[in-house]
Amino acid sequence: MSNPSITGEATEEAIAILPGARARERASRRTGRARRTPAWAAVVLMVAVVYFLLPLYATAVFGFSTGKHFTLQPLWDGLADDGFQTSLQLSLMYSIATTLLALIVVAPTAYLVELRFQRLRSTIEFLTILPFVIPPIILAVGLESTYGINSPVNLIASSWAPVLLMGGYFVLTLPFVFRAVDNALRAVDVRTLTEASASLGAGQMRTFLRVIVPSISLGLVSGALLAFTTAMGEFTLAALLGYPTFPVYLLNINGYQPREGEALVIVSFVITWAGVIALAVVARRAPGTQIVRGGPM
Amino acid sequence: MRSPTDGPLAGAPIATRRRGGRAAFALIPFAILVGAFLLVPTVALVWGSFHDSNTGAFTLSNYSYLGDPLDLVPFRNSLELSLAATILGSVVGLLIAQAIVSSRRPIVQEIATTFSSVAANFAGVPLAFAFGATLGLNGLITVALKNNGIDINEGGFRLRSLMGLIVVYAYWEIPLMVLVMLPPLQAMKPSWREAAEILGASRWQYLRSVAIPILMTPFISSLLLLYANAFGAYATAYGLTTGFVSLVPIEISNLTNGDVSHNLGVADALAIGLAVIMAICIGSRAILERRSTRWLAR
Repeated sequence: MSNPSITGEATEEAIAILPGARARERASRRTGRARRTPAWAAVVLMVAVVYFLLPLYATAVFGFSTGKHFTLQPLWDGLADDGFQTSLQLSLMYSIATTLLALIVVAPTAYLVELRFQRLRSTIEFLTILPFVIPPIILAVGLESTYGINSPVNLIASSWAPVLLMGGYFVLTLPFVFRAVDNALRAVDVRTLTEASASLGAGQMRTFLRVIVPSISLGLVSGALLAFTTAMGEFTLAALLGYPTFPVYLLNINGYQPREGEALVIVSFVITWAGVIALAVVARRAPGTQIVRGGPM
Repeated sequence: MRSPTDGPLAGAPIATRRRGGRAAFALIPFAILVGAFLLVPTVALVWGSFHDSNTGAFTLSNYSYLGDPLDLVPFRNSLELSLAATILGSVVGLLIAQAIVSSRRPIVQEIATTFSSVAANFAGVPLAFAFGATLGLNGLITVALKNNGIDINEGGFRLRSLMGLIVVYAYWEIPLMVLVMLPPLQAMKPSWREAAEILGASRWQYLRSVAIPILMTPFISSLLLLYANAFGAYATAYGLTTGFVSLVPIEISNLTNGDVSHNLGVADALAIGLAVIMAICIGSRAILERRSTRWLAR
């Protein structure tokens, strides 16, 4: 393994510029290191893959069979169920609404903080970390205390109920959305772009929509994907505040239709998978994109 | 990043400065949403934890759980569960992350990252049911092992217990560890090792004097993340046990929603206790993070 060749100036530079993996690859090629995967690493990776696929395989075995034979019947039954369709529609509605709300509110805020209100940066950053300290279960109790049945501001039993869940989801997705948008904003020279646009006679709104938004579009897309997948899979707030979304339905159906339930678990997995793959595609074009939420679920 | 030539705020051209007052209005929606759905509920929690939820009178009795060993059981269970899940997740996760880096193939690293992201995001109710199909009483593995003469249930394993929860939590803790440890492991420059070798350092000396000191900060930081994630998790625990294992998040939800045990004041007090633990983890992590970026800057 040891190869005491002296690393040249150019290699050092390659390491500094390129992100980890590829830099190492190049460095090792130049210094003549072997490209072979060590046996122990191959074994560890194979065991890991098996471990992570096992629960999915077991779920598919249960969900795609009626006792002994393979069939997709439970899946079709599950998909045809009214309860499933209503709950999925509700989840989609809340997820799309939350995503739009988050982008429309967070993007201008992050832009103005970067451009003009740098003094507010530490406050805003604190606010965007706060949802990690207040995980969904605490937020649910807080919202229940503030807007629940016993509160003078009873939103839950009013026509404002959808706003309550959207507000909760806005808070839950805030850390990811803010970071995604803020990273994108910091990667472009917001100040110069804004000044150039203004000197050409564009108003603030026009500058934001026609200059800033297109130049941070990847950040907006990754923020949107993070918000959407978070809201689609969110269980805690919906269950405690009483919204029959898809994850809540999934819990209930497993009580009386376990095979359909397991088939729908696969559906839920596919939704997660699609979201993460989409994020990975974005991340490939915009390095530094966060593709894991990293909050308690 | 701002370039050094950028002037301070006052130096902005007239065109962007003139409407400075109006720009502040654009921050109002953000302030309203954060205020109404984050800050006010947090204040309401603190207020509610000091008031009797029936009479509305000021009281400290909601916090009486702090002095009662029986009432502290959920905290003890949550502490143990999170500790076990963190240890399991970090050790296995670190091993896998190092295996990915050692594979020296960019394609493996890319696939592994995506794969880990999917696994780390696959939590909550669906994960609980996936494990039900795997390690539940009639789970695939349970039955397969039983057919081969190994009865894990007789051996004391129950999926719907603390032990089962540790296994299930590890399913997202491990890939999360992989994702947070990959960047620092990849940032370890081969030239550091070469330099150490040239100077005659053994493998162990390199580890002790170079690798471990550099990786210690990100490692501890990820332990805190894993711990906080396990402690605050509710959906997975509820999906798996339907509320029968006594954990802090489960007790909070029972007190909020339960017919028999409904007591919002005590739920608020428990939530404050949980928030304090989360704040310790996240706060220490933020401090560590600030220190480690100095070393592992790209």
